Amino acid sequence: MHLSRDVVLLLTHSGDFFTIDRVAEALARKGAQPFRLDTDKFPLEVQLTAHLDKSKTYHTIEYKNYSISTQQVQAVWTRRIWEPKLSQELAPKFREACVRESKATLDGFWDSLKEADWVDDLERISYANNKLRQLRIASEVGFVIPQTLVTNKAQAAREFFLQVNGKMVSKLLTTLSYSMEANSSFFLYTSTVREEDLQDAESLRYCPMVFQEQISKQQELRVAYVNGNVFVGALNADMYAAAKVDWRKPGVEVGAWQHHQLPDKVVLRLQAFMGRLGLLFGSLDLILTPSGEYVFLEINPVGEWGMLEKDLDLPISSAIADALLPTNH
Amino acid sequence: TEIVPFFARFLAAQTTEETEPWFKL
Repeated sequence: MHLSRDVVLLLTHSGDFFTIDRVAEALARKGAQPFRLDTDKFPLEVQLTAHLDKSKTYHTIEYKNYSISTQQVQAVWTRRIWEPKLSQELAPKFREACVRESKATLDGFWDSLKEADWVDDLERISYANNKLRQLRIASEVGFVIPQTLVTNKAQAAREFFLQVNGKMVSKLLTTLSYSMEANSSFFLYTSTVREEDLQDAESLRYCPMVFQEQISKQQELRVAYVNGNVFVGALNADMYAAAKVDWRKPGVEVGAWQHHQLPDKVVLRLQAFMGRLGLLFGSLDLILTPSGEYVFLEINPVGEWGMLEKDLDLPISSAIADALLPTNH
Repeated sequence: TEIVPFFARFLAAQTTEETEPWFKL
């Protein structure tokens, strides 16, 4: 089957659900043709061809009996790009090379979509993923940010612990590892640091960590930002145990997501922040303190928002579809 | 805390469920 209508390419993975379906449905309602590409299914199930010569270039994608030319693609949604998944029968000594070559092929292939509208552009996502840059820019646009130390120096960590009066949390800049076989990440959640932990701080020499002052919480906010619009879900901090410093952990009972209206000045800050990063979409985490201050924690340029749409009926997928269709921005 | 990095102590404090894919339809 060959698609003839204008296509919006949805870059995701084979385990994705709900959010990908909602965006595809919203695009179809608006007259576009969504094409889901599960990036982890390349090279075993997705077939790519790229023809280049001095007169023209021609690229095709074939997946699940559908075939498109990248010339048909008007927009691309970067939901998630996963690593190529290879079968067990492949000789182990060639696996790494096959994965590396497949990733390089995918990276090269995206160049054929340079004329499309991206939500968001891969280079901008990479730029925005720098968490130290996030904190700097957030501060520059007027957000309060937690006092933060990133270091591999034990003495600096101990001094910072005293500076924040012993109320300190730790986290990493990245997920720990990625398993292609299980398609899972090993994840270290935000953890409270005790004084006795720092007796072992010399081991920071093997790997740095992020340390931040622990911010008092009235509410935790997840903000889905789409092309200037904000969709906010709030969790009441008193609904879960104080020891659980990270609401995302399994087993943490967080209560119900609630609607939350951000003050205009905070929305303006978010718009300025996203403008500096050049992003149309982002999932941001903020803390509302007991004194009513909004503290910026971080942004994930490809973060989650499905729970906000499902539980609060926030029209996020429709907003993403609007952002993908070029007449809307 | 085999030589391990500083973050290993926090990873060890997590449950396996926490460490190993948030509708949590």
